[in-house]
Amino acid sequence: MAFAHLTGIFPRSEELIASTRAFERGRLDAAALRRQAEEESARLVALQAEWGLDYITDGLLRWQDLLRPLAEELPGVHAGPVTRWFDNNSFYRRPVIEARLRPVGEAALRWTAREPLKGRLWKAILPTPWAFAALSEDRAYEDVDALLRDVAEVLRAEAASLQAAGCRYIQFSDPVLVNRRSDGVLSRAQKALGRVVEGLTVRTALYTFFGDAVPVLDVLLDAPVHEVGFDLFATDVERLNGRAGSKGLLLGALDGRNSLLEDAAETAATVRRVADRLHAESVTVVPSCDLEFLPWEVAVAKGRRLAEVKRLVG
Amino acid sequence: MTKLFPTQEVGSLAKPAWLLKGVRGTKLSAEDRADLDYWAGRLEIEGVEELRRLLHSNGEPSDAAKAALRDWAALFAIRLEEAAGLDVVYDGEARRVEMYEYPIRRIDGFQFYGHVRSFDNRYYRKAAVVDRVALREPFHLDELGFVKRQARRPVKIPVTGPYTLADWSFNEYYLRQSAGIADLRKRNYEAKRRFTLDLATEVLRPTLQALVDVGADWIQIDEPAAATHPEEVPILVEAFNAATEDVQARISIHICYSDYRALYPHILGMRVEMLTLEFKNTGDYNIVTIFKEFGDTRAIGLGVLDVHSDVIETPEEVKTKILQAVEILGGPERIWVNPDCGLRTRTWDVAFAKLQNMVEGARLAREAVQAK
Repeated sequence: MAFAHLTGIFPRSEELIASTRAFERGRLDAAALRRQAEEESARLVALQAEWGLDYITDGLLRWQDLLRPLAEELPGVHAGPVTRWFDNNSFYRRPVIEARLRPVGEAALRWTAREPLKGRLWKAILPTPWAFAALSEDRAYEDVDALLRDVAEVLRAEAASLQAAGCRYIQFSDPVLVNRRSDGVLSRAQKALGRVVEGLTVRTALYTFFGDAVPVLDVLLDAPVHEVGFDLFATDVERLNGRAGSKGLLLGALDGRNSLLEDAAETAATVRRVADRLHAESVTVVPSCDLEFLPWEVAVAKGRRLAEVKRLVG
Repeated sequence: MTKLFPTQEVGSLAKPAWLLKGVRGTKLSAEDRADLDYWAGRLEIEGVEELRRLLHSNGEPSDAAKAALRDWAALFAIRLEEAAGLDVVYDGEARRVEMYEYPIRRIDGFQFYGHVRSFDNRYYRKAAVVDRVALREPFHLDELGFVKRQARRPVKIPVTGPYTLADWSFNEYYLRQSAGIADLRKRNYEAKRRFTLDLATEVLRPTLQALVDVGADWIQIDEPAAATHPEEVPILVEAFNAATEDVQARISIHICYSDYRALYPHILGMRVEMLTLEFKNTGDYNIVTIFKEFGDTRAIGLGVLDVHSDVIETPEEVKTKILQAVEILGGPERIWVNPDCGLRTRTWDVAFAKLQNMVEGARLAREAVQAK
């Protein structure tokens, strides 16, 4: 059985980009910009439904980066210096943690366009505790385990509020696990994620990207979530070896960082090959990462192609 | 240059408001006019009446008027760098939109789709290579000619390198050409290699040779993307060597905001005289130790100014950083001094003050070394 959905921030249309620039220059107020972003979210929700995606996102159009809602909303944290986002020609603002973290509960929800998602099977995206901790600048804790524990509590409250708001699927995104491996990290990351999903009844996933999943595959397949996934453009597919069994696989089979539209049949064959290799019972076709690295029109074409690949995988 | 610690520019300067508004045909504010007058006086630029006349013309300027405005902006930038005391100057890249789009628009095979985000609400136009690349005509020639005619100091021309042009573009054509490779990771690598090498041999090499033909003595290849994908450093080196093959000029490379360790050991195979690097921003001058660790004996352009901060480094600070590098490298001979990168995000006041202090810091370091 094959499924398909998006895995991250969707690019803004040229019109919305023009509005964000107008906002920066003081020619548009924040409320008008927000209204326009919500209207664009509504159009994107309708597009995803039309394509036949199984879970719908609002496109995270207001998110400047994966960590921004938490960086902006958590007391004692602020969005800090502009920092390169992995091996991309794009940047994020490193969250600076100045004080001990306290859960606030609805940070991500406040940054979600909820109206168009009503009545849909909708998906939310959060960083894993490890990704948030590793990508932040810690000025409040001396102990990484203590930091990780508190980040997990923050994200647990976020996940609970998303579930309460009707979200049916929460993906925890983590480009760090497959990029900056060090001793002892995996078990700590796993434990923290376990705490976040404790008691959740929605479907959950751990999605990694920008790095080779082969060295961490065992840990991924053992993660305390329903589905795990990785970026096929960064993974040494021929060295994948494991048994997914009942754990669903999210396979990043459409390149979120290149504009060339993949051949649907070839991509479907790749997805089947990887799913067979890992003895997966269920597979979800996803973009390799956020589509925000592409211009809007290209991202829309990729979304449409995603659905075609899903149908071919069957 | 026999002088110890010669100083050099390394990138672009901010474009004056009078230039941006002038080419758009927008009316200048009193502040813009005052700024023009201030710098014209401070840099002792003659014949500015002609520039004022150009700026007071009504409506959309003609192409000739736009070109004249850009000449004026280039002249102001050259004089600023000379007045600051730099030993090697350029024009602050006054004519270039920026370092990516300017060359890409002069190469066949690319198509611009739209904007992608850099960060927050900042975006840039990103092109896709949709056909084999071909040089329409060598670029930067008129620009270099103007600088050579006007400059009173030696000149170095910056040119964006093939690896960065490839890395900052979407790769469609070469990916299609590599479709026979089943493994997606290997396919992407091979497609990137073919793309970068074509840019090196079909675009950069003829452009560099044409620049030499019109008098370029020193060419700086800018490769800010150099260490973005550590596994692709061999492509960077191969393309750099291919682009500069038989180019009879001094060749240096500028790399900024990178993990320099990722470049080694492959970069030892790069045929280049000088590596101009950013050190101030990292705050870690121990990076200089990489040179020693890998036995790299090439000249080093030592970045001593943080281009993202308005804090003006003092001459003493600059001197200390230079002497620190001398200590690590075991001698002063192959050290040049420069900002980390272009100062285009700083006002001219800040950029000028930083450059002046850099020049003074280099002089103090020279004195200190010669006094020993």
